[in-house]
Order: sequence, then structure tokens, then C-alpha cells
Amino acid sequence: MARPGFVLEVDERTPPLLVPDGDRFRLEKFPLGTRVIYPVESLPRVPDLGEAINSALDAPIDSEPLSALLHPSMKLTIAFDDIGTPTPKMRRPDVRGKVIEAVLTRAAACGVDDVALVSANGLNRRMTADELQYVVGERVFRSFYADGLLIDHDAEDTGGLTTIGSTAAGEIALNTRVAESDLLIFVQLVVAPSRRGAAAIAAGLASTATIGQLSGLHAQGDEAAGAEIADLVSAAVPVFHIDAVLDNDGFAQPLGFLGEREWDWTLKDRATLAAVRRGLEWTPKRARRRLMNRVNGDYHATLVAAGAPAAVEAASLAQITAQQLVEVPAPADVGVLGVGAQTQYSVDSVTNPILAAWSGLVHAFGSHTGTPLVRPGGALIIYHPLHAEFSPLHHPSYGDFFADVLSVTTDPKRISVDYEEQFTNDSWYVHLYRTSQAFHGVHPLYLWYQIAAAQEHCTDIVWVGGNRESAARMGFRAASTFADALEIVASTVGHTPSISYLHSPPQVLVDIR
Amino acid sequence: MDPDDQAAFAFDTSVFDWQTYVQEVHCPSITAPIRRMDAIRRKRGSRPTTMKDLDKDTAGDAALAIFDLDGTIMSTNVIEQYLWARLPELSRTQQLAEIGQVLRRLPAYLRAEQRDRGTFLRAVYRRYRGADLAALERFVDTSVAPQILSRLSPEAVRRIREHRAAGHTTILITGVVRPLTRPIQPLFDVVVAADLGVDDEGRCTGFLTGPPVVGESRAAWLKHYAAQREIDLARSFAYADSHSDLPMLETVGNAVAVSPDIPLMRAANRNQWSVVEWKIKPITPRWALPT
Repeated sequence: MARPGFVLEVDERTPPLLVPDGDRFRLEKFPLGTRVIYPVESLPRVPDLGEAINSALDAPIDSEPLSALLHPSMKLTIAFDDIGTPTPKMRRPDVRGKVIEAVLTRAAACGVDDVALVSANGLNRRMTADELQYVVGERVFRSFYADGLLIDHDAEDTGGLTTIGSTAAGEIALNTRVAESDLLIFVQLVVAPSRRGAAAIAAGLASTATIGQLSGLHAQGDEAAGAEIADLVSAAVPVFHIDAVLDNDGFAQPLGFLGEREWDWTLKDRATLAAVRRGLEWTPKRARRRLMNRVNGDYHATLVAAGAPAAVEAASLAQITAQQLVEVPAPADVGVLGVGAQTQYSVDSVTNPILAAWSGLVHAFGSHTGTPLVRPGGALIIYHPLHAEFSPLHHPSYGDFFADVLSVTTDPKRISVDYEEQFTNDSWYVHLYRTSQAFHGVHPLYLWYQIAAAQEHCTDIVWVGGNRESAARMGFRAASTFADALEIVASTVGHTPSISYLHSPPQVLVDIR
Repeated sequence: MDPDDQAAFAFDTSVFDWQTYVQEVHCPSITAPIRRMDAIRRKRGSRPTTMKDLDKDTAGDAALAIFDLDGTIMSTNVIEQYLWARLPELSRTQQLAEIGQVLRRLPAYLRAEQRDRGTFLRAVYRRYRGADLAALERFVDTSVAPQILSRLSPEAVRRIREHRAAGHTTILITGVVRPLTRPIQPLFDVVVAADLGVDDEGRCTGFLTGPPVVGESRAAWLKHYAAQREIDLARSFAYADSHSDLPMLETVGNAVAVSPDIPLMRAANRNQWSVVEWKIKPITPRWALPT
């Protein structure tokens, strides 16, 4: 039986608490009375993954069994989300691979020959061959990759996109293979109650302009824009949706204790943490990053649901909410959280300051049911070193955005007007996105629009241990220690603020009562 | 005040809205230029003040921007590049044997480089003998490109793109074999690289089709190219990291020494050239091979 998430009030007996700090870990003593929000322990995993997949495919929700939807002359496309989900990567075998194998077995039994697999990477970087193999498994990779039937989606391939309709903002274009398919099977791992269903298909498999309609500045907080596009996608392509909801085991052994509560740690766990912390301190920065990039999650599926997209979405949303929801009595004056080594956009790469800000302010702080962890006008204290390092391979436009745009303005409206078109159409970024492993040129701007919403909510955002220049460039402040950070925010929240520490990862969905 | 001017210029200080004036007119007129300067300073970062701001450059296509590759815009060398291209196709034992051979020849290569960079390059490129050029190009596109792109200096790429935006003709001039320049070709209008000679079956002979463009020959090539196209070299730019590029840097009006060696640093100080440090932090270790 999984223990629910809960809120601990720090007292004299509370030990120093674990705080992720980039590719290191801190043990931090919080002031008395600090509320610590602990995540829910992992829900029971499905006892037999193969059997759960088979049951979902053969008895789907609001749909005929998958085998009844397949026929020999059909064009079948299987789409799946990219290596950024989940983060850290799950240990092999990836659940998506198992699901895809089960789908292909049924397709073969029904005589379906025209099958292709497309990664729904949207404007994210293309996956390498090794990463594709990691996700779909060795057998599927061997059968499809060499024939060009296992590919990444290309949002800039004008010859490979088909217009399926239009909205007031412009045409909606979808991957041609997907648009022309008799059936699209969309396989997703659910790790957060984020965008799902047909809107997720558009976000992963549409043109840059279409994704812009979903992620641009005007789309922030506008559910209607997404709903209209989702309707067009649903009308254009029959979809059989398969979701696997993952548990909270974000750290594989021997680091599994990092996801547990401090007082449950054994002597061995404490010794391991001491060794890990000391080892990481002694390790040079780049080597440390490589080490932390190798940390995998020990995720398991707690639910496999298949069938009609809306029904599957509802089922998986209920399950992920049960997995992540923690009730918190009230918003605090000061929120505290740590950003870890990896984000979903920096797998095997560098977590640059913009990605760190996105991870803290959007991924962690933005995970709530409607009311954020911090009251409006409150302060947020985040742990991350904010090294101004950018991967020239994966994030070329991030470096330019940081150097050339954020040095001039951090205002999302001005950025949208003055720079969005330039970053969207820049031929070098488009070339790198299409031929190398670079995120699309406009990607950092879309993340910045999301970051700006949290910035508006909080009066002060202070990074403990953060590089001062990087923090200032993004409109934040930096402090050497937690005590210094509290001093800095005292001017807005006073000297005795209420403090809530979000003890994450694993992911927490904050529900303010 | 002259009665004729009173209608236009006179105002009553007692009815004037001073709060609005101070807050919305006076203060912003003082802070706006300071903010603009701050933004320029932040954008400039650690760039030296002698480095020319290309926003104000008016030379357009009458100017060139010439970039050296190894050590200037990219952290690598010809031996490492050869190993990237060669080792992935070999078994573990063969890889060790190949590295052993290269290491054995290393003193000879270094002696050759001290004598003449061209001799050194020719000696290393002999090792490409027998390689299928088309297959090598495909391999570079699919497998070596990430290695190359991850070793590019972001500052260098930004500067190349600034030159392009200013309308300058961007030129990469390098002794590296042409297939290995393919991933960065879109950044340049002209790529001057070493061309591998091939036989009738498209296999490399181990010889080059022409002399590698190094040292003095870079300056000669540049003067010839400029003369043919009416380019103003005095308004052109060149970026390099080594004293062997001195003749090329002396040819242009705006020379920039990038992370220079000591002789080039002395020359840069003597000539009052800009000196910049373009940091290159590859995310993969040097021993990681293309897959």
C-alpha cells in the first residue's frame, strides 16, 4: 500500500532535508515551522506488464478491440513520445517498446503490411539511432529503422506535411504519413497531467506554425486554441490512444533512496549519499554532468489504458492525479524547490540556465491544480548553479537567445514581437533542427513565455548558489546561501514568512485546499 | 519674453502637471539611454572594446570575413578528425592497432609540423588512402556531424552569423579535408579546404588534388580572391588562432586573434588587433567516437 503524500512541519527533530542542486545534492536545515511537501509513494505497479498491455488492447475503453480496427490493406502509423519522457530515462525495457511490440504483433496477425513508426518529437531535437532503439526496443528497431520506417517527425519538412484545416490563426498542417493513415496509434507515457489527447498529437506531429499556435505567447493559458486544433486533428485522423501511467520511482538503485523520506533512510543509504556527495564534489564539472546523465529511473506502469483518446485521457488523468496529488493547507509566502541534473529537454546534454528556470518555474512550481504553492506577490527560492553553458549540439538557439535577446529584454511581449519570427525562420537553426540534433530555433522562446507566467506571479525569485550574471540576465537574483536568500526576499515577505519546501523529485501535484 | 513668443513658449508653472512631467518625461529621458547602454554592455559581454560592432558596418558585400577552423571556431585537430572517420568501422583490436600506429608516427608528424604545416597535413592525409570518398561523406553527415557541431564555439558561430547579417562574404579557410567541413558548410559562402584525390572507383589515393592552403598561401589566396571580385581587404575581417596565420591576418584591416598562441599574442599586441577567447566546451569527451 503506497503511503500518501503529506505535509511535514519542520521541528527540532527534523533532520537536514535533501535538496537537488543541479548535478549535486544538498542537505539543508530549514527554519522551524517550514512546511515540507512530500510526494506520494509509488502506487502499486501492474503485476504483469505484458498482460496489462494485452488487456488494454483487447478490451479498450470506448472502442472496439485493436484487432477489430486492423485490416490488411490499411495504412497504420504508430507515434510515440520522445526520449525526454520520462526524465530521467527509464531503465530498459521502455514500456513504450513493450506496447509497440504488442501492437505490431496484432498488426502482423491481421495482415497489415503498411506500418510506420514516427516519434512525436515536435520541435524537440531528433533522437539518435541509439535513442530510438532505447525507446522502441531492439527487435522493433531492427525491423523498421534500416527501411526508413522508424523516423523522427520533422516540423519543417514542407513536403512531408499535409494541411488538415485552418483556424483563425492559420493553417493546421500534420505529418503527411499521419494525416494519410487509416489509423494512428498514439503511445504515450504519462508522467504529469499535462497536454494529452489530440492536442498532444498536434504538439508532437504538426508543422512549426501549427505548434506555434499551441505554444506561442497568445496561446499561454488559452485552452480554446488547443481545443480547436485538437478537434481538427480528431476529425482528420482516426486515433487509437494508448497511455501507460508511470509511478514515482524516479531513481534506480543504488540511488532509489533519493526518492524516499529522509527518516526512512537506512545507515547504508546515508553512507551512499555521503559517498555520492563527496564523489560529486571531487569530480570535475563535465565528468559530473556525464555521471548524472547516466542516472536512470526505475519507473513501472501503474496503469495501461487504451481506446478512444478522450476516455483514455480521463482514465490516465485520474491515475496520475492519484499518483501525484498532495493536499497543502494554504499557499506560502515563500516557496522553496531544487532543480535536478536533468530536464526533459536536456537528456544527455547540458541543463542551461533557461532550462533550469523552466524546470523550476514551470515543471515543478507549475504543477498544481489551479492555485500555486506561493501566494501572489510571494517569493520563490530555487537551488541550481545556473552555469551559463549551452550545448552547441542540442541548444544552439538557446545560447543566442540568452546572449542576444535576454541581454536586451526579458519581456515576453517584446520578445514575441521583435524576435519570434527571426528565431522561427532562421535558416541555420532550421538546418540544425532538420539534419542534426538541435532543438528548433524558436524552442527557447516558447519556454520563456511559460517561465514569464511564474515570474509575474512571484515578486522575487532567488537562486541559491546560482551564477549571479545568469540570474540577473533572466531577471532573477542570486544568493550564496538559503539564509541570504531569505534576507533578500524579506523586503517583500517580511522576516518571518511562511515557507513551503517542495520535496521533489518525484513529481508533486500541489492541491491547495 | 517677446510678446510674439508668449503664445508658443510661455507656460504657467503653477498649473503644469509636474508629477506627470517628472515621472513620464524627465526621468525616462535620463534612464532610457542608460538602459540602452546597459543592454549593449550586457550583449557585448566579455568581448573586447576593440572588436568592431558589426551593426554599424557599412561595407556589405565589399568585405570578407575569413575564419580559420581548428582552434578558432572549433576545438579539434586533423589527427583527431582522422580517427573519428577511421576508428568506428574497425573492431576493438583494429582500433587499438590503428591508434598505436598513429602514436608511433606522432613524433614524425610533429617534426613535419615544425618544418612545414603542409608537409604535416600531407603526411596525415596519406592515411585516407583506400577510403571511399562518397561513403566518407555519408559517414560524416550521419555520424561525425554531431562530434563536429558539439565542438563548435557558440561565440564563433554567433560572430559568423553577424558577418552574414552584415552582408559580408563569409569564408572558411582550413587545411582540413573537405568532407569534414560538411556539417558547417551552411555557415559559409565559400569553403577553402583540402580536397582528397580519388581514383576511378572513387577511392582516395592518399594525395591531395592541390596544395593545402596554409601559412603564406592563405594570404596569397585571399589577395587573389579579393582582386578578382573588387573586395576591399582593408574593410575585411580575419579570425585565427596561430602564428602560422599571421600573413593572412596582416592582409586584412580587421584582424582578430582568437585564443592566440604566444607569438600571435605578441603580434596582436604589437598591431593592436582584437584578442578574444572563444571558449569551446564539448559535451562529449575527446575519446568518444562517432556511432
